Amino acid sequence: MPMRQFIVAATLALAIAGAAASPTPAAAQQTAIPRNSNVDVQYVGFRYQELYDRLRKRQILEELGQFLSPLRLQQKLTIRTTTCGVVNSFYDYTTHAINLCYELLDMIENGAAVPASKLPPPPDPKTPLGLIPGVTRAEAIVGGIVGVALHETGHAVFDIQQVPRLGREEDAADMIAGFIMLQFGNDVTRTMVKGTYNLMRHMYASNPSIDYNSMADVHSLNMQRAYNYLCLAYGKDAASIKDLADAWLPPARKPDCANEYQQALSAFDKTIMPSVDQTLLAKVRGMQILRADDSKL
Amino acid sequence: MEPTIRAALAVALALLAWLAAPAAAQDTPQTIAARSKVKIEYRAPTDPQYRPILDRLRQRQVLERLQSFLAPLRLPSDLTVLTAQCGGELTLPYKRGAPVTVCYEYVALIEKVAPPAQPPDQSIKAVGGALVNRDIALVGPFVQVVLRDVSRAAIDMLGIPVWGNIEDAADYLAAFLMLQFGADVAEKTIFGTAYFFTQIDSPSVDFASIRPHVEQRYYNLLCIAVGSNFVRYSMFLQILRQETAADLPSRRVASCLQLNSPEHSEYNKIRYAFDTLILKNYVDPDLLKQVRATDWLKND
Repeated sequence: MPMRQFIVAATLALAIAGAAASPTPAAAQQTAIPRNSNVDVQYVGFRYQELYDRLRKRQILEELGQFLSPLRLQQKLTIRTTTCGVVNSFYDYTTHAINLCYELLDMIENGAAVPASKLPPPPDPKTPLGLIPGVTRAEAIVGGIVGVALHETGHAVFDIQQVPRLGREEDAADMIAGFIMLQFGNDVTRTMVKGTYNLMRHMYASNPSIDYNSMADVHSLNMQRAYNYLCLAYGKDAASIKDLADAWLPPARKPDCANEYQQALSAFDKTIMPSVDQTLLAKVRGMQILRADDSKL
Repeated sequence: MEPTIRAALAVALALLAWLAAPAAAQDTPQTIAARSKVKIEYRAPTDPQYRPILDRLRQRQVLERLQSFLAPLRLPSDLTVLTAQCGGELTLPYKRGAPVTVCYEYVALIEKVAPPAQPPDQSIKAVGGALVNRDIALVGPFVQVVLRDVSRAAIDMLGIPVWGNIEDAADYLAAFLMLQFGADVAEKTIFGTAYFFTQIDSPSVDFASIRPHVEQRYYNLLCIAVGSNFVRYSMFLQILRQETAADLPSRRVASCLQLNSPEHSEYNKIRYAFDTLILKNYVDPDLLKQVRATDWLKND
């Protein structure tokens, strides 16, 4: 696949990753990229003042708007950070708005990215909460937050661009998010995959019971989602992700991962790329993703 | 409306549609089948216990009808659908270029879990609020597995883009198709498949499997059905009674219906995807008109 096909996705992931983690101003090259004129951003303050201040100062949403600049959106999209009252994030079809909830971002920082020894006992003693061995706090925060943002952005792009989805909506959003994570080189890929896997596993550990409500949920089970993300990465480049896959991905899943990645690649090429401005895409390619300060969380 | 009246009306409408179709005078089920890219084969089982199944399928011309039913699909090359013994496996995983195989083992399981036939009063079972007799329990899951596996193959052969789990996509397409050929076909196939999914062994969840768990498939099926017609499939909703595990949980119902923006219901998303990706490009409209006017499950 031509490199340019990866650019939109790559830029978004990198921008969000950097924005989520670093207080450093964006690179000069980055500021030259216009924000998508069809993207409005809002930081809604109410609770979680510290998070609000940090995200606003870092201009995370503005960078997400830049990341989306090559995409010829057919309608206005609003992206906001807001208080939702529950641990969640969601795309609202009726208002075309992505709502990134402070509660979820807070849960990532103060739950998923915290060592198990500093958290309350898990519901199942065999499944500890928080950071899993091999994942740093910075990776858990950056990768986790970017994963959530990309997932919701996936819903929005599907809806606004009228992308047909034959699979389940939530799995589709996971797939496009997972695909985008993999387009920025090995360091970024590993950070995103580790952070997302860690978040999904933490959510599973928080509520490991499986009942008919969870089986009927619009989302796949959290551990199914964790393996889906990991499999996609393994399918793109097994060698670079081998240590993670050997540690976390059951062997029986591995043989099909390359096909799953090819499926995502083909779907991206056929349903998203026709709406991408190639000139802007080239600019977005230059956006900085992981920065030095990202490791100091 | 009484079921018998509804059935009679459906038959009358089907006949009218058949007569009204421009090419109807020339086309018979045989000539339609001849234009199908789907080729069929009944393979003899090595285990004699499956011989009666082969005989029944052949006698009912199950594959011949399937061949006609799928004739409107413009596949780039032939696709063989066959019945065969699968060495003890219930289903065979999809393999590019391989035929779609309906395993006698799977059919045997369908027959095993179906309510027993006790003429003249057949045994009736329930799934959710839906009643299922042996005929429905036999027809539904058979049609589902064939449509599911053909959909899986067609996705690959046609290069259809799929966001999300491709196994779910095949299930969704099968469910969608089951709902497109009249209320009688839809109810038989949805009820029968739902019943089957609740009757087969439900193993513990393998999180890493690419295949969704049967319970997830069950709720996905109900979601598509309820989204297609809230009233007709309301027997799967907790209305004026306690919710059971056979019902579509209220939390999922919201997504299935999307009352604030119905075009985003799970059913309508699949319909849009089918129309955009398949119907527009790969379906012969004249043949489809004829196929839609046929009573495919007559005498089943």
